[in-house]
This record gives sequence, structure tokens and C-alpha cells, in this order.
Amino acid sequence: MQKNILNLVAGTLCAAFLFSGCGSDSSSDNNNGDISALTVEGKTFLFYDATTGSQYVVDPDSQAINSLDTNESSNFYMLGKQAGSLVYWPDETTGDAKVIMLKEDFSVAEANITHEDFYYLGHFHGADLAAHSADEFAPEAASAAKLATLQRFNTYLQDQEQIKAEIKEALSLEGEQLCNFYVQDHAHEEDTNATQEEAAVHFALTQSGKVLFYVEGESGLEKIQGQLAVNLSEASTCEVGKSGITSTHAGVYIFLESTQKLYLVDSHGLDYHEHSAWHLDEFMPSDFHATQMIAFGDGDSEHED
Amino acid sequence: MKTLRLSFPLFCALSSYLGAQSVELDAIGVEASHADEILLERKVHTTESLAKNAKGETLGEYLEKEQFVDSASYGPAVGRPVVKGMDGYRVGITQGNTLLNDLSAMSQDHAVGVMARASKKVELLKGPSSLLYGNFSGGVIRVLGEEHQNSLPKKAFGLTTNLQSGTNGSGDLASGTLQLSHGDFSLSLSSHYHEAKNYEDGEGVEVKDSDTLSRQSHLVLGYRYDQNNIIKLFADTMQKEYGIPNTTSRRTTIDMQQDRYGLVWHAKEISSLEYMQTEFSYSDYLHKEMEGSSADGLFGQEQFAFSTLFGFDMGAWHSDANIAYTHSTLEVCHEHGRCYSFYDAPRNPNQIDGESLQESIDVKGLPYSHAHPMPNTTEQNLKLGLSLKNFYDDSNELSLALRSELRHLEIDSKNIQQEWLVSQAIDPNYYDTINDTAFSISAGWFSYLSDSLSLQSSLSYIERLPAASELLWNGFHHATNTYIFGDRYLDNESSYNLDLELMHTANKLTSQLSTFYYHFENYIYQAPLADAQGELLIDPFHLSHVWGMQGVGAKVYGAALKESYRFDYKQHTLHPSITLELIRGSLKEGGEIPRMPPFSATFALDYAYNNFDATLSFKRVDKSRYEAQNETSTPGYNYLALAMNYSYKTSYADLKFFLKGDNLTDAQAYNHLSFLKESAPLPGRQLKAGVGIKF
Repeated sequence: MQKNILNLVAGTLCAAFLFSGCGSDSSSDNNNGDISALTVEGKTFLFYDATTGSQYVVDPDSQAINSLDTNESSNFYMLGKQAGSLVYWPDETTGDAKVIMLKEDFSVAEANITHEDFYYLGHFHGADLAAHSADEFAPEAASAAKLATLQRFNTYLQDQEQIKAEIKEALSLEGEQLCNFYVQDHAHEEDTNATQEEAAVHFALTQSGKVLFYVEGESGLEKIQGQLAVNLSEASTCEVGKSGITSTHAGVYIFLESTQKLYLVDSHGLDYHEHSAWHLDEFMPSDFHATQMIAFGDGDSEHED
Repeated sequence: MKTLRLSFPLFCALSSYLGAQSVELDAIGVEASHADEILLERKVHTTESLAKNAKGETLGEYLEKEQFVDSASYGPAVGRPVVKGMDGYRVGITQGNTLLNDLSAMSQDHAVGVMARASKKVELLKGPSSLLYGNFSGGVIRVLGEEHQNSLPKKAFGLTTNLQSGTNGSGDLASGTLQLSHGDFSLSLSSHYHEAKNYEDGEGVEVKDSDTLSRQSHLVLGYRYDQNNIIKLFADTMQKEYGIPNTTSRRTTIDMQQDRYGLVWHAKEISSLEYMQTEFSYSDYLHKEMEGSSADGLFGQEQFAFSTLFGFDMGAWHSDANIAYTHSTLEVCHEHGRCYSFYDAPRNPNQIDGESLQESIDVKGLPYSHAHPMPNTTEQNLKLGLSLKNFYDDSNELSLALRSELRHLEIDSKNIQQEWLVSQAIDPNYYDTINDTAFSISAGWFSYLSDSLSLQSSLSYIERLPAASELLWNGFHHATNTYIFGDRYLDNESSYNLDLELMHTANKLTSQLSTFYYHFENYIYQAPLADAQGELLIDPFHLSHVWGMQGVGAKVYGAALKESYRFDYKQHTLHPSITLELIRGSLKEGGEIPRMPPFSATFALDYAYNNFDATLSFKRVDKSRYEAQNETSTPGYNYLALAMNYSYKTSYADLKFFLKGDNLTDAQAYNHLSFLKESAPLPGRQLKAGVGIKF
């Protein structure tokens, strides 16, 4: 169900990229590159430069790159603000995907999230991506639904913290440190009938620029048997908070700030591998240096090897 | 027959000399029928005559009616000739004296870099004669253009056009050649266009992505310096866009481009040399492989070639020699969606070379890679071929040929992604330059054993240098849906080849028995790999079978019997013939060689009356009886074809009309030699009609 909604969301995100209702905006920016080189289907990326606050939405399906930096009144607007941190949240209750721009100093381990801990919450409003400002979630102004949304998001973050701790522990056995991670959502650990291949794959991006693959085993996370680690091309480092991972049909897209590359790591056989990689220079404005990435949509489902 | 026998040495001498120089046989008054009845090492066909009965527009289809020749199709756009079961690198295709600059031998989905129709003549060479041009166990196919003719066009003005249209994927063809000649100058400009949409097989099922578009233009400027020297400049451009009728859900296409430029200098009577043909050429080949809108593969090869072919006498021996030098650079890109142009893989000093490949070895036991499948290479070859003929007496000709090739192969890993490099730890010599040599020798004997019985035989030792792709490929191969490990340390392919042909002529009945036995000391082929338990290996990235390039002992042998009879009644000529062909290839270690041509029998009836001629042929192709390990069987089929031609002369132009039908019974037919035999059966019934006008 969630996938269908995400598909719909991705499919309806078009070149015009009109923002509406709850504080939206739209503008185009001439990029120096050629987005046709980004042969990705069914996926819409949001790239963020935490140093400047600049943000771009990239939609390969419609060959559109849109800046979120042109309208100061937009809830998305981040230029001049203190650095934030993007979080992708598949909200299972509403069935849609959301993006939250957390403030960099927020730590879920220390406190529950409040309206003071983030800048905006973005989601699809009909066919358009829209953003609510954090102020709308202040207790004195927020509706019960909005407060419940924050509550659910808090729960999600805490769940992610638990998974992160598990992955960190597993990686430590390999002498690796965690940089970022993603857990496939099409299978669940509680599915006792799932084989190792069918169980939810945990993609662990290490600080050395590798991707390792785990599944839930009897005694915690176990490496997938026989699966090679993927050494992302040109990557030797990954700094925490300067990367992004998002799902696609048979794997994940990974962004690394250190290489400024977007990688497709997927499996159409037994092993995950780096299927493709694109340097952001190829399609993004030349003066843009991304530090984070999140994405909406399922990704290519017609993938051939 | 006696007349023919007495003229045999003269004929052989002239055909050898003139064949090398590509002069039309008509020019010396040797009738085609006589030539047909002589067992020749060198068979020359005009393209026009081959086109009459060809069922398609590929070189393989033009030649597949020749004895022991088949076409390895990969859809209608691709048809590389397979000779005596020898495919790929075992069959040489040259343009003039220079090896064709394409990659058709590398992979079954790569088309031959020349439109058959764009050539003027095609020669098939075997035995000692073939060593002049290459060391190929399957012989050499020599494609000749106007630049290879050692004379200027005779007519001041000539214009030839051909228009053709057909049903069921036959497509439309337009072809034209303009020739101008004035004094010591000449110009020849030809252009050819063929476009065909998807076809339906014998069961009426449309074969998706079986469309093709080919264009080739050829310009030759000739200048006669004096009676003994002619120089011809040529330029050629060819584009080919074609679908690959495979099973992938997204459309697979190949877009190929080849440009050639060069000079051919024809000379005769230079000092003690009877003739000389010297060629310089530069060619640039590029083909792009698309999966949907994703540019997944790019192969480019630039080649500079020089060759000089000359003839001279040494006592009783007539000699032809060919000295050739080629310099070619191959660039390879195979990365999903990334191959719009060639690029160097970035290097990060902090990343370990070959880290992923090493992990493959550690975890999987084999160096599986998901990188570009082979490094770029630069190859320099020096090739020396010498052919000697001695007309021992009126009835016997001895021939001897030697060939040597020296190769300097530089391997450049700059395109290979850093994590997939073969590191020093894996193999410190992997990217080292290779210097290697190959030597071949062949002896032949032609004899009239009696007035009615003639014999041609040859015994050859052929060595072939392994191609760069056979040495260095490590990756998935889309065309065959297999993962292939090359072998960097392969030895030369080597074989002892015995050919024996007997022809008996009694009145109007001609019987021809042809046999061959090729014993390979080292036969290079792709063998399926299995683990210690005998389970076939599976590529971890694509779930495909894994094949390894190996050199093994093998034998390929075959026989053909042809009986033909000629009736003449007034102006009617009827020429029925029946041909049986049997070929088999097996490995020394047991098992069969894959994609060997199935047995076949062909009945043909040629009829001619005044300006009309027709050929009716019925071919029975047997089911595949000897399959290699993991090779699927192919059912037999019947193939009925009819070609009719009528020529008509006016005071202004010569007109030719033709009507042709292939697979008239709409049989469901599969080509056992094709990797895509299941997804791309042969076309069902096709009808073609056309007209040729010559001014």
C-alpha cells in the first residue's frame, strides 16, 4: 500500500513542481549539466547543501531540476539559516512519505522532538510537494492531528535509533563504523517464513565508503552469506550526516558528499553491486555542493541487468 | 575437357594473379561455368550474382549458399559467415588486403562492418591462398570495392540503380552507383540504403526488435599516372541501427558507425615484380548498445593499416607476397547508463586498487567483476604472407604458403574502475604488454588424376593469436547472457587442417565430394564452468551461467557431396543439383562443440532461357543431432525458395526485373547457429520484387 502511494507520489511530481496550500513555492533554475544523463525512473531526489542551505529537487522522469532557494516566504526556504539535517519518514499511518528538516543540534537520544527542533515538514499535498513550517506544530497552535504526527515521527526516530545501534554493533565486528543505513521495507523481521534472501535487507554504509548487507538472524543482525561488500567507486570516506540512502526497486540509491556521486546499488542476481553511478556535476548546477539527499518514489521497476 | 585441362596452368596462373588483383574473370574470357567446374582455392563472386539468391542483406546470407558456409545470425541485421563450422575469430574478413576493422568476430551481436551490397566482389579463400591474407582455419573472405580494381572504369558514364521492396521484414532497398571516367581520371560514387521493420516468423508471431536500418556510401577517385600505375583514393561511411530480438523487456538496440579513408596504388611491371597493390587506410569504428534509453555499452576501434601485395617469379615458382602492418586501438565501455562516451575511470589515492575484485576472489573463489569487461588495448601487428605456386606439368599444381604474424599488444587499464582493477596482489603481470607471434604453413596439390577426375587437397598448420577479448574479457556478456572469464595466458590457437576435394565429370553429370578434417591442438572456446560437485557456476551479479575461455583439443570434420547435371535444349538450360552437407565438431575431452551447423540437404533447379533465369531451391535442414553441454536442441525444417530474373535491353538502358520468395511454405525455422534462435526464429514467408536499371 505504501509503495503504491509512493509510486503515485513520484509519478505526479512533474516539471512544473507547483507548490500549494500550506506554504509552497516553485521556481526553476538553469542547471549547467544534462539531467538526461541521470537515467533513473520513478524517483524524485531532494539534494541539500547544509553549508549554504541551498536545496534542489531533481525529477529525472520530467527532466526537471528546481531550486527551493528563490522564495524567502516558502516554508522550504533554508538560505541563511543554521544548518539542518534531512530525514525521510515513510509515515505508515497516513501512508505517505514525508521529509523533515531537523535542526542539526537535535538529538533523538536526548529528547522527544518538538516544533523547536526542526524547520519544516514536507509532504505531498495532492500532486504537489508542500511544506509546513515548524511553527505550525507549536502546542499552542497545532491541531491534534499535527501533534499526533509529531508523536509518530518521534516514535519512528526512536525505532531508527534502535536499528542504528544494532547495525553499529554488527559493523564493529568487521572493524567498520557506521555512516548511514537503510532498511528495506518490503519484508519484515517478524515474518518467520521469510528466508534470508527474503528478509528485510539492512544496507549499512560505512565511514570507509563501503556498503555491507545484513539481515535479522537468530542472534541479531547477520551478514548475508556470500554477499560481497560493495566498495563505492572513488569513495574512501563517508562523514556522518553527509550522505543519503533511499530505496529503489531492487536496492538503494546512495549519495556521498565526499565523492559528490549518486550510486545505484542493487541486485538483479544473487549479489548487490554498484550498478551505476552519476557525478552530480553531470546534472546539477556547477556551484552547488550537496551534503545530503533524500528521495521519494519507488524507483525503476523495469530494471534490466 | 581436354581443352580445359591443357589450359589449366594458364588458367591457374591467371586466376591467381588476377584474383590477387581483382580483375574480372570475364576480362580474360574464362567462362563462369568452367570456373564452377574447377576446384578453386579462391572463388570470386560478383556481389550482383550473390544478391540474386540471398535471402537477406548480410554478408553471411550472401554467402550461405556456398559449400560449408552458414550464417551466424543474431536477428536479421547480423549475419557473420561461418565456414566449416568455424565462427568468430576463426574466419577472417578483409577489405582488400586489410582485415576489416569491425568487432563482428568479438561478439555474436556485432554486425559485420560492411554492407554486402556495397561491395563489388567477394572472394572466398581457403588453403594456401588464404594465408596471403590471414591465418584463419575457416579461411578468408575478401570483400572488394571499386578501389581494389586495377583499372579505371571503361565507360565514360555509368549509372546503376537497384530498387527493391518486400514483405514481412524484407524491407525496402535502394542502391545506386555512378561511375564517371575521363582520360586518366575516374569517379565512382555509390550509396546503399536498406530499411526493414520487424518480421513475423513462420507461425505468424512478430519478432520484436528485429528491425534494421543500414546505410553505406562509398566514393572512389581514380587517377592513372601511366600505363603501369593507377592510384585510387577512397572514402566510405556506414551506419547501421538495429534491434536485438532478445528476451529483455526493454528494447535493445545497437547503433553502429564506421568511417574509412584510404589509398590504393596499383602497379605492374616494377622491376622484377609482376604487379603490386599497396593500400593505406584509416578507419574509425564505433558502436553503441542501448537498453531502452540507457546507454549500456560502447565499443570503439580505430585502425591504421598498410599493406602491400606483390607477385614475382622465382624460377619455376610463381610467388605472391603480402606485407601488412596494422595499428589499432580498442576502447571499451560497459556500464549501465553511462556509456555515452569513453571515459577514464577516476582514481582515488585513498582507495585500494582492486578491492572489490579481491573480495570476489576471497568470498566467491573467482574474480567476478561488475566493471567494464575489458581494458582498453592498443595493438600493432606485422603480418607477412607468402604464397608459392609451381605448375609441375599440365595436370599438376603444387602450392606452398607461409605466414607469420608478430603482435605487440599494450593493455591500458585506465577505463577500469579502481575497485575492480587486477591489482598487483592478484596478478602483477596482468596489464603487462604482450609480444607474441604466430606461424602458419600450408601445402596444396591440385591434380587432374584423369580426364574426368580432378583432385584438390591441402594440408595446413594454422596458428592464430588469441584476440584481446579472448585474453582479457572479464564480465557479463549481454549478447549471450553469460558471464565470461577470459584467460590472460591463453596459448595460440593451433590446428592441422586437411582438405580434400574430388570432382568427377562425366558428360553433363558432375560429382563433387569435399571433405575436411581439422585437428585442433588448441581450440579456443568458451566452456561452461562448474564447481567441484559438477554444479554449473552462476554469476552472482546476473544469475547467468559462467563460461571460461579455454584452449582444448578438438576436431572438426565434415563432408559434402554435390551432384549436378546440365540439360541443354535449344536455348533452354536446366541445371538440377543436389547437395548434402555434414559437419561435426567435438572436443578431445568429450562433448561437442556448440553451434555447429546441422546436417542439410539441398535440391536446386536452375533454369535459363534467353533473358530469363530462375532458381528453385529446397533445403532440408536437419535437427541438431550433436549438442554441446547445456546447448538446447534445434528442430529441423524445410526451406523453399524461388528467385526469378528477367533482363531487358533498350537503347538507353539495361533493365532487370526480379521476383523472389523465401521460405515459401511459411515454415517455422530456427537457426541452430544463433544465440537467439528461440527468441528470433527465421522469418516466415517473404516476397520481394525489384528492378535494376543500368545506363
